[in-house]
Amino acid sequence: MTTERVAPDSEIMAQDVEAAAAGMLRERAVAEGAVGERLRAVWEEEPGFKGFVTTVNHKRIGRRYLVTAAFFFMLAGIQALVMRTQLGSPNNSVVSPETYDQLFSLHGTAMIFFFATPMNSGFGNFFLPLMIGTRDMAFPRLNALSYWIFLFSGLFMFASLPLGMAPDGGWFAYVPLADRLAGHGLEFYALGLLFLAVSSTLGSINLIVTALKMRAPGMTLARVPIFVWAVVTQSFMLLFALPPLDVANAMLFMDRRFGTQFFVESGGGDTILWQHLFWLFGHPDVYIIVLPAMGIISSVIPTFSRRPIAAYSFVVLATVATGIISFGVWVHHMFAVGISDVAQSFFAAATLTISLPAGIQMFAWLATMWRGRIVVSTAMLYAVGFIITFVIGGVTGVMFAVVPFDQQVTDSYFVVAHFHYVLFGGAVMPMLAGLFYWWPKMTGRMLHEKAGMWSFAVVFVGFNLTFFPMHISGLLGMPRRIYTYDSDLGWTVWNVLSTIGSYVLGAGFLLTLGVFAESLLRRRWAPDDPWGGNSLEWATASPPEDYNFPVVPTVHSLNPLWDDRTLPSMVEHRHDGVRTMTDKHEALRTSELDARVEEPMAMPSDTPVPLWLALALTLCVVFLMAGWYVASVVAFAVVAAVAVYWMWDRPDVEEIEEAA
Amino acid sequence: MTDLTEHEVLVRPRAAPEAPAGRTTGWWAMVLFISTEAATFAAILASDFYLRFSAKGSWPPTSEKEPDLVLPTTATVIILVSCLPMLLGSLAAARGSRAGGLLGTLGAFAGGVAFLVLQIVDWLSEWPDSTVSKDAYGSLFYAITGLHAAHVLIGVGMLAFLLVSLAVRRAAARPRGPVSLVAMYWYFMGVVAVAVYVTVYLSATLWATR
Repeated sequence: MTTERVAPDSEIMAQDVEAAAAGMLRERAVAEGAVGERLRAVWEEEPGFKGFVTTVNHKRIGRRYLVTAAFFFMLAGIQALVMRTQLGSPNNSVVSPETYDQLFSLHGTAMIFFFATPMNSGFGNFFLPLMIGTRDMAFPRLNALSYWIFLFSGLFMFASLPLGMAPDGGWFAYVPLADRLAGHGLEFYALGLLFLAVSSTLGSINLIVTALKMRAPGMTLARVPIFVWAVVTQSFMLLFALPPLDVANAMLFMDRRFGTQFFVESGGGDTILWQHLFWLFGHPDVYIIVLPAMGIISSVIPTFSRRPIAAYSFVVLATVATGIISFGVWVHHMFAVGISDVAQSFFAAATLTISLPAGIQMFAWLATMWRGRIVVSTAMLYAVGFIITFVIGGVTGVMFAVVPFDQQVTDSYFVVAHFHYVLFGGAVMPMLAGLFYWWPKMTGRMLHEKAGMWSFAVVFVGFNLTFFPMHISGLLGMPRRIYTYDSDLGWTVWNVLSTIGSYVLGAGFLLTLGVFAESLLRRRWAPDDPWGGNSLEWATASPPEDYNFPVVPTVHSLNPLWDDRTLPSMVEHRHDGVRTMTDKHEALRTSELDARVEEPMAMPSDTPVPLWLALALTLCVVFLMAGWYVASVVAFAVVAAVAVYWMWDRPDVEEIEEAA
Repeated sequence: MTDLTEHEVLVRPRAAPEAPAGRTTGWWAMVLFISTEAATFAAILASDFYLRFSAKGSWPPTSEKEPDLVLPTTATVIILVSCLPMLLGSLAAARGSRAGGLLGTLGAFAGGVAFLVLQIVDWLSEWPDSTVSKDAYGSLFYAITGLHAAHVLIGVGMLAFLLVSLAVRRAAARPRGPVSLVAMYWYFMGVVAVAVYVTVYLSATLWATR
C-alpha cells in the first residue's frame, strides 16, 4: 500500500485562501511563467470555423460530447413528457397507439445509447487526461472521429422520427415481433446502433490506452483516481459487451432485408437467441452507464467531505468486480421466458452477488462523509440525492433476483420504476453532480450556487413524484408500454401523480439549464481550484490551457493536490525538457503499472480527416438504409481510402524518418 | 514502495538503441482491437452452436448435400501457413531490414489473396444448394465466412499498405513499428480461420445430425 500524505486542514485552507485571492495556484503560475509562452505557440489551434471542424483537442471534443448528449437527452425527455401527458388521464388520445410505440421505443433507445453512454464519454474525454496529468488523449484524431460518428449516428437515429419511421419494437426490440414489424423502424434501429458501436469501440480503446500509457510520472496504479478506474473498467466492458449486440443487430437487419433465418423458427432459427445476445450486452450496459457515474461521485464526495475517500482499494476492487460479474447476470432479464430451473438459480445467485460490490462502494461513500467535514454545495447535494435514489433502485433490483417475484412483476410498471431509479438515480444525478462540480473547470466561470441548490430540490422532488408511484401502479398490475388504460382499474391516481411529477421534473431541468446559461452570461471568473479539490485537474487553469499542464508533475499520492510535493514538482521540473516538451507537439508516455517515464511521443495537430471519414461512413450507412447496396460499397471504399490517407500522414513520420 | 527518484530516470532498452522504451500506444490499441474483434467472432460462433444444439430436427436443417471440405481445408491451411512469412518479415523489419520485411509481408499478402479467391470459389459452389435464406445453417454459413472474409480483406489491405510503406519509407522497418502491429492482426486472422473452419465446415460435415 502507498503511504498517503494528506495535507493537514490548515494547509488546505491556506491553499483555498490563496486560490481565492490570486485565482491561480502559485506553482502553476511559476511553471506557466517558465514555459507557457512557448507551449502556447506549439499547441495553438486554428481559430474560427476551420478550427471548429479540425480540432483534435480532447477538451473541445469532451465538451461536444456533453452538449450533444444533453441535446439528445432533451429530445428523449420531451418524448417522455408527451407519453406522460397521454397517460395523464384514462382513455386519453393525445397520441395514436402507433405514435406511442415509436415514442417509448425511441425514448429508451436514445436515453440508453445516445445520452447516457456518450455523456460518460464526454466526462471521460474532458477529465481523464486532466486527472492523469497529460496533454491529450493517446489518439487525438481517433477521438475526433469517435465524436463525429456519435453525432451522425444520433442524427441518423432521430431522423427516423420526422420520417415517421422511428423504431417501434421497444428499446430491446424482441423478435419475432422485431423481425416482422412493418415499415423501416427496426432497420433504423439496427443500423443506427451498429453505426454508434463504431464510435463507442474506438472511444473505449482510446480511453484505455490513454489511462495505461499517459499517466504522469509517479501515478502508480495505487494512485489512480477512482473516476479513471471506473472509466477504464467501463471501456473494457464496452469492448466485450458491444460485440454480441452488434452481431444481434446485424442478424436482425439481415433477417429483415435479405431473408436470413437467424430468428425464424420455421427455418431452424431461434427467437430466444436474440434475447441472449441482447441481454449479454444489455446487462453489462447498466454498469457501463452507472460505473463512470459512480466514479464522478467518488470525485465529488471526498472534495466536499474534506478528506480522502475511505477504503480506496476496496472501491477500486468493487468497481472492477462489478465489471466482471455483470457479464454473468443477463438471464435475470429472461426469468419469464422459460429457461431451465438450474440456469435460473445460477443467474439469481449471480444477481444477488453483484449487489455486494455496489454495497461496498455505497458504504465507502457513507464512511467518507461520516469521517469528514461536509461542505454543502450543489454538486454534493446531487451526490447525496444519487445515494438515496440509487439505494431505492438497488433494493428493487435485488427483488428481481428472486425468481417468483420477478415472474409476478416482469413487464409491469414496477420494472419501469426500478430502472428509472437505477438509471436516473445512478446516472443522471451523478452527471448533474459532475456538471456542477466541474463547470468552473470546463467554462472558467462559477455557477450561482443558491439557484443550483433550488434546481436540485425541484429535480429531486419531481423525479420521485414521477417514478415512485410507478412502483404502486406496477404492483396493481399496470403493464408497461400500454398507450392508455380504463378508469376502473385503480391506476388513475398513480398515473396522475406521475404525470404531475414529470412536469415538475421538466421544470427542474429548465431551471438547471437556466443556471448554466446564467453562468455563461455573467463574468464570475473561476479560480484554478475553486473547491479545494484533490485530483490533478484542479492544477490546471480554468478553463485549462490547450496543453493542460505547462510542466508534467510528479504524482506523489492518491490526492496529489492535498500532498505537499506534487504541485512543487511542477516548479522543480520547469527546466526539464522531458517534462515541458516545449519544442514539439508532444505528450509524455509512461509505463503501464508504475508510470515510469518512457519517452515524449509526437501528437497530431488539427486535421479535417476524421470528419471526412465520419461523413463517408455516414453515407455508407444511409445507402445501406436506402437499400442502395452498390452505392454503400462505393462509400465504404471511400472510407478505406480516407483511412489509408490518415495512416500515411502520421504526426511522427518526419521524426522517425530522420531517426532511421 | 519504489524510490521516487527512479521515476525520473529515462528508461532506455539495452539491445536495440532505436527501440522505443516500453510498449507503444499502437501496440495496446491493436491488442484491444483484436480483443473486441475476438469477442465479435465468439458471439457469432456461439450463436451457431446455440442454434445447432437447440435445433429440434437435423442439422443442417434442410441441406441434402454436405459442404465440400477440399476447398475450405486448403484455404485454411494457406492462411495459417502465411503466418510464417509474416512472422519472419516482422522479425526482419524489427532488425531494420526493409528487404526482409518486404519479402515476408509479400508472402502473407499472397496467402491472404489466395485465401479470398478460394473462399469466393467455395461460396459459388455452395450457393446452388444452400443460400442465405434457405435455412439458419445457410444464414450462419454465409454470415460467419463472410465476416471472416471481410476481415481478411481488410488485413490484405493493411498488408498492401505495409508493402508500399516498406518500399517508400525507411522508417517503416523499425522495432515495434507498423509491421509488428499488422502481423498481430494477421496471426489473429489465422486463428479465427481455424475456429470458423471447425464450426461451419467440419462440424456440419463430420458431426452432422440426421
